[in-house]
Amino acid sequence: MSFESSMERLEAIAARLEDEELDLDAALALFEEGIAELRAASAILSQAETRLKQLNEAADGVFRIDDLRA
Amino acid sequence: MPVQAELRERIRASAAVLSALTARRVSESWTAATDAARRITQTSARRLERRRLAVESAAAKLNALSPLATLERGYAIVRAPDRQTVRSVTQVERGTAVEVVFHDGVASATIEATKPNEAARDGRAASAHP
Repeated sequence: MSFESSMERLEAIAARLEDEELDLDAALALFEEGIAELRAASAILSQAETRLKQLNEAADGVFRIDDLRA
Repeated sequence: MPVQAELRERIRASAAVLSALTARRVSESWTAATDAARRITQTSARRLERRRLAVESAAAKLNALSPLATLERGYAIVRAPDRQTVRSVTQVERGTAVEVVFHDGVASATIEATKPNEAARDGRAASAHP
């Protein structure tokens, strides 16, 4: 599941909770699914942030070597 | 000999110019690479920040629409052993094991007795004798 598809599903869930006359049980099931999508999207985002941090640190190392050379 | 010395001097001068030009070129390349790296980092960070805000916004929206608020007001959902929602007293009988879903957890319970109201009894009679 990609970040975008999670967010799309979240939007659809929110729209249904907002607009449809759902009974409590169906609303609760949708809500639970929404929480799962939210967790999935957050996890993808955290992974991306970690990767960006690692890449930044790697790049920083390269440029530090350059600074040492200069 | 003076010609050789002059040639050596010219070669040394050319080498110095070449070296300076190369050093400048290398320095410019590193500057360009550093700028590119900074731009990539900033763009990626901005993109991630936009996504983080989108997730926070979706979380707030979901929270505002939470059906848990209804459960918090004192309502509960009764589920039969097959996980179907029990919507009528006629769906259960003495001894039926059910789950009662509250806003903060689930309780297991067993039906001790049922007391259908008049409408439910009429409904049962109607379905039994169409």
